[in-house]
Amino acid sequence: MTFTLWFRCCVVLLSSLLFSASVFADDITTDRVAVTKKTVHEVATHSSSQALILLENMTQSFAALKYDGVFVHSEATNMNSMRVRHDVMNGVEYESLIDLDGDKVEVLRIDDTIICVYPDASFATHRAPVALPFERFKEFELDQLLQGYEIKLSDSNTRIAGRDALRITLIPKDTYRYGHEFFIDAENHFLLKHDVIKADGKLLERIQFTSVSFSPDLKREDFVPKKGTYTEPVFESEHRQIKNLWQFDWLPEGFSLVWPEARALNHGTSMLLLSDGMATVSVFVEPAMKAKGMSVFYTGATMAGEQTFKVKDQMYLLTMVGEVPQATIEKLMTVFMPRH
Amino acid sequence: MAALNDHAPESLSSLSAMFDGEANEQDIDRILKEDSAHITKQLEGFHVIQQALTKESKVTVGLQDSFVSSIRAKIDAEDLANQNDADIKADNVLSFSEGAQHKPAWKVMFSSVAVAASVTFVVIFGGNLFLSSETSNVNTLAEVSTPEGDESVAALAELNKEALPADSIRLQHYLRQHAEQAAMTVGQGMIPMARVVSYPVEE
Amino acid sequence: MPHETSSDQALVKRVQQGDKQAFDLLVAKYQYKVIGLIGRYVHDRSEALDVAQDSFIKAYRAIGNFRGESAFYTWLYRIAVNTAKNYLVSRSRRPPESDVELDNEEVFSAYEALADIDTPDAKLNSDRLEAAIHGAIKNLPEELRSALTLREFDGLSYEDIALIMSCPVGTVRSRIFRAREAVEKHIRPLMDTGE
Repeated sequence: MTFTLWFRCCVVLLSSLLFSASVFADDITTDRVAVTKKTVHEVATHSSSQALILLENMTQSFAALKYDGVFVHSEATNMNSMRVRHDVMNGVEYESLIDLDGDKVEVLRIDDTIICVYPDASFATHRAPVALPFERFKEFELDQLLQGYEIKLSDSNTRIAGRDALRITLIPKDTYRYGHEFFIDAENHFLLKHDVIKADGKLLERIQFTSVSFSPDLKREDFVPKKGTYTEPVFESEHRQIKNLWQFDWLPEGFSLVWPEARALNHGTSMLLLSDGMATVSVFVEPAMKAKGMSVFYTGATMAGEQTFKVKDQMYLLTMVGEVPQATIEKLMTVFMPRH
Repeated sequence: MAALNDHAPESLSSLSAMFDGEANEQDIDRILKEDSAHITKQLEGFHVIQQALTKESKVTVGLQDSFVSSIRAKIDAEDLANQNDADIKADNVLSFSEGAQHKPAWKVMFSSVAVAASVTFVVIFGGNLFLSSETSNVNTLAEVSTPEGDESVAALAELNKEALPADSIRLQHYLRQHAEQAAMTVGQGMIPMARVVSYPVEE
Repeated sequence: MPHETSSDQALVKRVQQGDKQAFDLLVAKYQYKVIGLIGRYVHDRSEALDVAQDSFIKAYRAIGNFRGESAFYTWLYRIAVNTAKNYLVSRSRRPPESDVELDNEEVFSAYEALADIDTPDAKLNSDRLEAAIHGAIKNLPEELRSALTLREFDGLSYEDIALIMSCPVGTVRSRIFRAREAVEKHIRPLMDTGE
């Protein structure tokens, strides 16, 4: 992963530059206050660099570690416990996510293939796996992240799911995104807890492991649909790249398009994806028949907005979905326009 | 009826590849040169093997070429009877977002999670959990303004009450697409997929 | 890199150019899947076959507008589901014979309904066939069995199987074909008596 390497080089370079700068500062000043200030600054920057490395490691840990854990996903009106298992066997990555409440729905991933598995034995469909470039997305866009958030590693450690955890906070630099708090395993940097926080400090969404093992006895058989279960590929079609005919007149700082082009979904819908390295906003545009004013809906931390607009004689329906505040969705919808 | 081994292995190898979606143009040329009844019979064999390997339910046989030929006969008869039938638009078949009776395939995936999603309960968290030990930073979390008040905000769950099933399905489709992309973008493995289970689902 | 959609796409292109035989091939390939799918909505075997037939005809009529934005089967799947649901809606308007609960569609076993295995003879034959398939697969050489299982049970592409088995894609293709050929040869007598 060249980006990872590049990033680590940058962090090392940055750390050595800061170190040189502080040595230089020490050399040229005898003012104790000035020296103290430099040291505080250096510590803060060091904390931020450390936090970035930890976030990067966290991302890697999801792909590299072997784990079997139970976590709770909760938002205002809903709470679900889920079991997640992951292993890499013979170079093939296996992952399983099971809903432990209600019906025992399972999402399985074998490398780039995602399959939904149901408990009943009524029906199964099979398809060749859709080649989705998971590998490409396993890295945080760290430089992008810094544009939208102030990142801090807290001094105080805590315990989550019986494990020592380090706390990283992502404080939004503007009103267009939520705050995040990550609790990362001190030993292997696995994500143990993730909170999404609103501007008023209230918790919007939480994912928290209640137990996790990093040495589970997993076999390949644990990741194949059991005989008699109903499986369905999650991805209904191969995504086709098409020319992006749309643009944003404005984007919040740090937000950019994840794909250079648009993706064609079924029925003439184009999809674009925006991200600031942490939050994502999906944009869907499709031809429409009836005019529709702007409306915004939410579920948990996810906000969705829709409205129609006209380009020449053609009406389009614009839908945006993302884990961002309402104002962000609304503003993005007003600045969306055809590319000239 | 000729058995499998009476045919050129190349064309059957091509058929096996086509069955798996791995055939190339040459394979297809080769298959199309074969007798359709034999091809259908062969595909039935492949299908039965697949069924036995993947399903608990009983394997089925017996459709063979009759189903294919009856469809072909109907198409030919319709073509003869009315040439104009040939220009039926796809829209008539696939009005995805219009008409409540049309439900897209992905809906099936959601139906089972609907039960999980419907059994919800409120979790009350104390406010200000974020940065509680670093109060100096709270101010850096800027207030989010909601320019037009909250009138336009409705829980997605309420959509069902608004008799907009087709629209609701479309939104759910997009929510799912979004969750999948988030799972690939934010570096937290499949954990963002957990949101899908919490999304409100019709039916 | 050929995969499911590219294979089907090539066939669709031929149908769009007027090749009805290419469409026959698509029907032959997907008939069981489509009938099984429709069986989840329409429980009566003969009605389900009719609806499946309608779905394929609709697909044929609409194929000129299929631009490959989704996989062919996804597109066909939608047509089949819509046709089945429309069929149920039209039937429900004719009381009192229809009382189908769509809510239960997932728990309905299409294959059991459509397999026509309610007669003891048919069930016996179906059981024998399944046992014969499993027996034949068990007796396959290891590399053939692995290739077939990775494809059919795990749904992996030839390319992925090649990676797992550390062999060229062409070898995977050949192994899967040879596995099917061997199993098919073994079960053919049972299949023919089952007609």
